[in-house]
Amino acid sequence: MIYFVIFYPVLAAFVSVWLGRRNSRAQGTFVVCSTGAVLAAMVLAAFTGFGSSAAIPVCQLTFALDGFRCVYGIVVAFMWFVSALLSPQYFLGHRNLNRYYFFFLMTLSSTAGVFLSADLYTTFLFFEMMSFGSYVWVVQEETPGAIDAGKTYLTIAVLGGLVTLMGLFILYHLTGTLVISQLQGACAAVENRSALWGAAVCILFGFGAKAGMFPLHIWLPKAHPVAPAPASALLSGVLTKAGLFGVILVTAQILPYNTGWGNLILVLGAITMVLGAVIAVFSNNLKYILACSSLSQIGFILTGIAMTCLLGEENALAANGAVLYMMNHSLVKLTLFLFAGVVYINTHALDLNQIRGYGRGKPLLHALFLCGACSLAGIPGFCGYLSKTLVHESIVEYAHLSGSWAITAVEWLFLFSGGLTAAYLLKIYVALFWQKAPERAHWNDGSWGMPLSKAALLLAALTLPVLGLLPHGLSERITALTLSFTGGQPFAHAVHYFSLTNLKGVAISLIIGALVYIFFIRRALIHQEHSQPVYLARWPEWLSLEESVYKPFFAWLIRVLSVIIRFFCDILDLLVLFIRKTILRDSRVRVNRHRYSTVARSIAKASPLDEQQVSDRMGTFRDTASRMTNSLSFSLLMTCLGLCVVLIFILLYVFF
Amino acid sequence: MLLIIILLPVLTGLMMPHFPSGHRRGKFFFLLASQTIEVSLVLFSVLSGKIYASNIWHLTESLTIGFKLDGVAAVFCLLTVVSWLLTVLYSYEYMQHEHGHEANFYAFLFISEGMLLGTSLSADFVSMYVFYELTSLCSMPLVLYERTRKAITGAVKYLYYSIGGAFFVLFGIVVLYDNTYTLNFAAGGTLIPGHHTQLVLAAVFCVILGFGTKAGLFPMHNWLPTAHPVAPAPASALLSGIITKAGVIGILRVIFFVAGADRLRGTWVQTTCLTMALFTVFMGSMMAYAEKNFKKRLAYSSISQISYVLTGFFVLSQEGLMGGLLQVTFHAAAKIALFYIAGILICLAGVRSVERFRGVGRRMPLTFACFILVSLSLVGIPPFGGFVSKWFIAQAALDALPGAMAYIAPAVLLVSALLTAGYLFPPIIRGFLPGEDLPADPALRLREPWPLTVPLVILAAICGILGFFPGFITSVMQHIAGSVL
Repeated sequence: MIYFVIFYPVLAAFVSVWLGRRNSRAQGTFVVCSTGAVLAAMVLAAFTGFGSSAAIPVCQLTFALDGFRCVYGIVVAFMWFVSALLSPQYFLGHRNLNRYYFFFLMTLSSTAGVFLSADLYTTFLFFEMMSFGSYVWVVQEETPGAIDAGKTYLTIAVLGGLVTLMGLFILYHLTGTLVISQLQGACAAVENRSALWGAAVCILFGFGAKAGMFPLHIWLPKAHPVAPAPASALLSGVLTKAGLFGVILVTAQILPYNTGWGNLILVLGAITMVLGAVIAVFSNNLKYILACSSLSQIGFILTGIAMTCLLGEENALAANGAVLYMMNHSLVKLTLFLFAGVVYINTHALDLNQIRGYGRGKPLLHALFLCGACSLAGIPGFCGYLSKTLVHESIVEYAHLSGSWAITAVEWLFLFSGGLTAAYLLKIYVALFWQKAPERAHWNDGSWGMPLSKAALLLAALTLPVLGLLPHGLSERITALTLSFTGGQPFAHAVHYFSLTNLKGVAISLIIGALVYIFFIRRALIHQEHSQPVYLARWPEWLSLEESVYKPFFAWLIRVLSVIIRFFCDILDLLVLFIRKTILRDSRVRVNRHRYSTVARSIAKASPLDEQQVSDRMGTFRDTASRMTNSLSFSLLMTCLGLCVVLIFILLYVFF
Repeated sequence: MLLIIILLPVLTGLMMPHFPSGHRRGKFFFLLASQTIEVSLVLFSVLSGKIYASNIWHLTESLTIGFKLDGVAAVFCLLTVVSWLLTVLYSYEYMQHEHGHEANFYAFLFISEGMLLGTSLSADFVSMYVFYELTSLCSMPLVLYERTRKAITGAVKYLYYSIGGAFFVLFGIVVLYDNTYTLNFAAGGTLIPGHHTQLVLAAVFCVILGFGTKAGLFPMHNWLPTAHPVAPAPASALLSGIITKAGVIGILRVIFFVAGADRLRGTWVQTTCLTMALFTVFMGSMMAYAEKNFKKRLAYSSISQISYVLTGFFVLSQEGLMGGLLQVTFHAAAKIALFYIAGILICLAGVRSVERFRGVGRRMPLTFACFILVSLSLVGIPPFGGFVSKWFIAQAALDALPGAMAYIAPAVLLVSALLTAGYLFPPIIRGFLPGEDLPADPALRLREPWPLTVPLVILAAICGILGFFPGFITSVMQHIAGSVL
């Protein structure tokens, strides 16, 4: 079954290209069926072969099916399936569909490979394939923005991949194994802790880059909005999780319960969390807001992972919360990006000023959006509430245990970011569903989607309340499966999700969100023009890490290095040139009479010869002189002279 | 047997100018047949498992010209004959687009093959030196082929550098002659212990420097970017992919078969050579990154990639040697394929500079699909071949090198890999993604003739398949490395 999940999509990719040459409708159907088959196979594998493992020795690939892998394998297959459902409508009339579907299926294979891998070599191999496959999604539209975003994406992906590889080199050198289940023991035995830390940081670099962790997040808000919506949903929902998979792996297996490591992740996570939310509040493009929101949510999850690490034996809340948060984010982003896709199909715009009021009079769409948004904001009754509460409680617990003000600050940042989440969602919600449409809007007001697309959104959105309303029956059971991988402990006692203390955190967040919306967004970012709201872009352009720090720095570095390197590269040629110009000059006689014309003119005035004659004579003289100095006998003469000098020196040295 | 292997291509080459002109097809089939026989001969001798050895001639009592087919030689010979076979196929179509004396081209192509096989098969230092020199001389006319000013400059530079390098080698031979039991190659080295240690080390260093000229090792590397791009594409493919490996095999022989890894480990020779190789790795990539002419970029890339091999060797461990040999194989496959691609681009699309690649990928998708595969291999992205070799080289460096060097070496390799991605991916991206304003016009589609694409696809498949199933080739290389160290 595992083989089917991983290799069938590769086969299907080729078949889909073959089909696409003939009939693009059949291609769409085929892709939907294929992803459905993979989903079925994955579910079947999880139920029949739980705990089993598989290996392909000739390729040195190994796979396993334990709790976390099963859960995320199913999530991956499910998301691909749902995203494929929307694709036929979204890509109606698009070109280069063959390419899209080919890489859509290829990336399904490699992403499943990442999550099912049992050793880091396999993980890395599929991780790289996934990076390159998803690059094609980013550039699919071939707009200048897409190509630029693709460039950033690929640069970070290649850089991340190679740094991770360095980490793997060192790790393998230190431990002699890359099998994930053996790593914990092997790493504990390593003497050279600083090298192990180096390996961990290198591995974190690559996986963190894919997850969108600060300061390597720059590709994320650029790449997610330009990709086609079904692909954005996957980029945001699953591919970032492949990065988090690696982060969890390092945290739980290489440096388990290491305080320094936990603090590092915590700091990076907290920055990512606040940064993403702040940019999202300022943005006006629906997909850009969602992308920044992803950034922020990744920060929340990283905080949860850090807490798992920091809390050690008491990390039940954090470990369960982090995984639940990952699932929640995957599903929410699936819903919301598909929603954005629907909006884009019908309006061909994503800017809030243009799509304003699109959702009015569409109750189903309204409900679906609310499902996603409420879960993201953490409203009780949805999956997001459970995960946010768990992570929040774990921070409170650690603040209590460590008594450090810094952790309390992180708690407040957590609540504040939660508030900002609510604020930017409110901004989208009000704009799309309550404000009036601009007058020149000309979208079709009929049905907003084909039945297939509606099914896709329904499938994605309905999972959220189901998970949210069954905290003990479903959610906790799922996360309990994953604890062996994340290094978490089971709950010591039942969690009362809907108790007053837990509701308080959400209430604070929501109040912050409402305040931000009313007093900041409405005041500073919305401008009333002819009693019509206009959303303003107030985020300063220069405040971009990529444009103002990375690009200038690397451009400068490359320039300096290339000058230095060019010098070294040509050093031997330069030496030869130098020798030829000085010691071993070409014995070509240069006849340049006009060089002496000024001298010749002055001599000609004082002599009976005319200017030309003087010049000629001088030229001849120079020729003779250069001929002489260049001749062999002259060289011999000079050698002779040199020998004489040496002889005299020796004589003097000996006698005196 | 070995003599036949060496002489067959030489004779074929010598016959070429005497063929009646006009029988292009006949000539081609003759060459193809001869090369196929050559490949089967080499395959037969390698697979038969016997160690062929023959002494041809005694120069003096202790200096002989002799041949021996051991594991290392087998790797290089197989690579050589297979690449030549593919190149003959490729040239049949490609050389139609070149103006010049085609028969001479084939003549020198085949004579160089014979000489190169001689270099790989030599059983002692002196015969290797002779064949090495002959390889340089016989491959020089390939660079000269177009007879333009640039070509002449390139050829002269090639000659000067090669001969300059050979003098270093000669010096080394003279010194080593006095300080070894025999100049015949023997695994583990033949140095007389305790004899003029520093002088011997200096001699070994000179030999490495001399052979390094051919392998593009800093500081004697600068002829590559001048000479390789001016040759016709099939010739530059072989020059870059295979003939540079003459230097590699020279270094391999002197390190492991004359001086012996144990004598060099930890000495200044190892440190200096390793530093030079690592610097070359970085320098080559950096220069390639800055270069706009595609063939020149590939030549710089060769400088960098061959020094990966040398880095592996200079680690002086079994794993390093194994990684180096793997890198020899994968670099040859990838670089020959890349030069084929450059040739296809020149003769079908008329594109030389990477800046003009925009939209070309759409016009010849098959060529560019192969371009993607071999580039991924050259960068070292799994599951392609280049990754396997880089993995072993980096592991060897981490395991065997002392101190900070253990970490610097893999880091440099990876920085260079990053630059490799930087100079190979943008042309591909430009080729496939010209932007939405360039319409997809089916009329612009270029049809590549099959003799140009078949060798290319084979090479790309080698990179892909051997990378995805590395078990077989790694075990073979491990066996060879194990027999040396």
